[in-house]
Amino acid sequence: MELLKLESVSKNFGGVQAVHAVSLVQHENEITAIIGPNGAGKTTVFNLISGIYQQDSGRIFFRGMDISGLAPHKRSALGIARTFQNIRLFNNLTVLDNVKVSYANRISYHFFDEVLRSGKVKKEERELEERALEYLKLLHLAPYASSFPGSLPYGIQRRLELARALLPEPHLLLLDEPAAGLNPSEIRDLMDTILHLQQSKKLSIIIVEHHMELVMNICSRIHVLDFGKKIAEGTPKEIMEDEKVLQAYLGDVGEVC
Amino acid sequence: MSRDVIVQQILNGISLGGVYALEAVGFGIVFNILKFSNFSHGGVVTICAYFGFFISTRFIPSLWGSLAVTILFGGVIGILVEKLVFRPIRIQNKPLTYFFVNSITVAMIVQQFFSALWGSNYYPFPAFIKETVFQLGKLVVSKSYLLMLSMSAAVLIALSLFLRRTKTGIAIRAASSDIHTPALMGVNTDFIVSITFCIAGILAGVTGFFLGMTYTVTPFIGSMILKGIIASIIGGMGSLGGGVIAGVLLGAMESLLIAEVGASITPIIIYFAIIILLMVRPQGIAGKLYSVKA
Amino acid sequence: MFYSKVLETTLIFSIFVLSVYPLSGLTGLFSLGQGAFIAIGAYTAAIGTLQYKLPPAISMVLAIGIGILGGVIVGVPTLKLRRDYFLLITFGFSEMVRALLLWMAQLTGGAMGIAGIPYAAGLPLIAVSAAFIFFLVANITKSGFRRNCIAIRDDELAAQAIGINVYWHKIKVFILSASISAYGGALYAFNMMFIEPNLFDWLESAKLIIIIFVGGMNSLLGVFLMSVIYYTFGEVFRFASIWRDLILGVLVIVVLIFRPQGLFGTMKKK
Repeated sequence: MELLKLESVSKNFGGVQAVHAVSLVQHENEITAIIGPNGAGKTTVFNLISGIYQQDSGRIFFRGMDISGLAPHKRSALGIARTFQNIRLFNNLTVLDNVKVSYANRISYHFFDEVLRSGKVKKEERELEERALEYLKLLHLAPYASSFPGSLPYGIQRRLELARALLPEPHLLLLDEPAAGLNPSEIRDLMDTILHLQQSKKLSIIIVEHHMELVMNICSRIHVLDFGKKIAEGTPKEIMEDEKVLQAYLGDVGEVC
Repeated sequence: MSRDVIVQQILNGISLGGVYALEAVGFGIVFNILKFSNFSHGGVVTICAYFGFFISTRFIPSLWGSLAVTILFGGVIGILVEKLVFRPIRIQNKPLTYFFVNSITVAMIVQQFFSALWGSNYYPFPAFIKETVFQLGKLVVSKSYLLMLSMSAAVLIALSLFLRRTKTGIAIRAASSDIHTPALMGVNTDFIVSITFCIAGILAGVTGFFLGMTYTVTPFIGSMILKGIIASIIGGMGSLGGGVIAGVLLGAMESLLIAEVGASITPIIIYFAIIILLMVRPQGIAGKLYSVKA
Repeated sequence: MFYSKVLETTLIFSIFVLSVYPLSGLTGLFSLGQGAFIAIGAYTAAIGTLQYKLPPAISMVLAIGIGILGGVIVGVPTLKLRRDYFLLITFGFSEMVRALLLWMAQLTGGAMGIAGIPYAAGLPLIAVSAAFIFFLVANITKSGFRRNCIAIRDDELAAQAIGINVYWHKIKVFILSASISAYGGALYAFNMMFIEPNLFDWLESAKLIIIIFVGGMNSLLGVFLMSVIYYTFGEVFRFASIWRDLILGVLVIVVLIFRPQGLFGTMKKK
């Protein structure tokens, strides 16, 4: 089943083509990756899918519905969740509240319920607390529930961002460089977690990642971007043997060295 | 209203607009690099107005001498304010809200300090120049207005040359796109921030001196900075040139409206126009919108 | 008598502080126009009672209504813009309201203000109002409303991405603040019996924000305590009320540098 479809989507920044006519399809319950050299437009694609940017042309469909003009919070309500490359947690909320806050869309009590703190608020908040604690346990964050995220190690912050994205039970999860800054054992844990989530929560996941071992091991398909254009798509094996991909990467490596 | 009266009003307005332009640039130059609305600039203007009054009545009765000393003093106060109030939160990487709160606090402290010390008395500057007027055809140009206009222009031109020609000036301009850029050019960031506040202080010195000369010195003189802030907004926050143009336009428009429809309704029209302008074109006349980085 | 007057004034100003707390403390939106909403409430109440002969209670309800209307008119177009523009537009709005009050002299008495407003808000009404407003604001700091506010303050972009309707939430917060401010303004008019345009300038709005930051923006109780201390001090030592602002000013700078969670804030950070 098709979950997400990008139809020739483009985005310009002051004359620079960050994303150029990119099309891709994401099915339900699969894990794919978007890879490419730095500045290839990977994060921009995520920003377009999650609605932080509006595309200049092309269309985006989610579960058969055109979501092109929708605001980010509406896309989140439809079931698109994401994490950020440079972790964006709320430093003045506790770890527990950081998770709870992502339930904003699904809370059914109203402003006046809150002002008068009706029974409905208390009941719903109790249920939310249980759910949030469940996710903290799932990601081994329970001991930190009442800490503030700014004081926690990097790896824990990454897991917290993941917990926050998962709480509203999204259909599609966008992970932007989830392995960045993690040590090898943490990366292995991360791979297990991602696979486990896909199976237990029936999640569909797109990963933007530079860590090739992670990408090759858990993704069924890979999209390759270079200078905003999609230059290849295929299974990990196909991608590893693709001429254009090698060139794009070698070019990039050449520049770096 | 006859054409002559209109031209006369615009002329008067432009000299006042020159002071608004100074304020707009003093406000804008700090906004450029630190990205917060620096209401403390009004406080520094007030301090300079009192200082100018004090110096010119007690020690240096000459116009140029007391103006020069006030300008220097303004620069020092600018540096001090930055060091005492903004640097400690900057090195702790505090959010911008803290900068803003500190800046309104400085404005409040200054206003209340002078109120407490010298009450709400009005202190007139000495009459430096005999109030003479030039006759240009049917137009009348007052000497002190002409002085204000030419000094404002001179200061702004000097600043523009400084920002374009010197290494420090270029570093300040580079810092407006990213505060860390000067470090890449081998210029110390703290130094750049210090110099920027010093420039704002110098501009505050000129502004305070002229405002004191035109009106009288009161603890509330700093509130006139509001006009400068407005000019800076109309011009496009972050665009110094836009601020100058807007300052002059604002002064001219204000004088014209006062003559045309009266002094009491003028501020209403101006504020209303600004609110509408900001809603339609939030980037101002010459500014560009910042994009959020995701 | 003297002490009950002190208490009345303190509680009215604390209502102003409470009205700004959700907006500036929780959501990090700075309105230099809050004084304008206070003025709108005060003038609506005074004019309603004196010119239109409405009973004070109706005038107060009307004051809240006009406050909400003002909140909608200012908030809907501006809360979409960046924070600093919001700040500056509310500031322009406050100056415009002040100019309007001066200009519409027939209705507002211009610079002379309005005197002879009936005394309709004594200590009991003020105390009950303050307690009730504290209760309301405390309630919203216990559930999703607070979480959304703080998320928006900390990182607006992430807040959107996780599903918060940032614009709508800001509008709710702003209107809540405007309505409480306007109600406080009405109480002020009915208690002081005299109002004039300069009572509510931008510096007055700035002071409300400053008190919140000294009290601790994550701690409602701290903010309330700070506000009570500040205004009681000012009323008891009237001769020193200007020095009070100097002390407050120095205090806020010291607090923001050395104790960013506020004097009474308990938030642990780093």
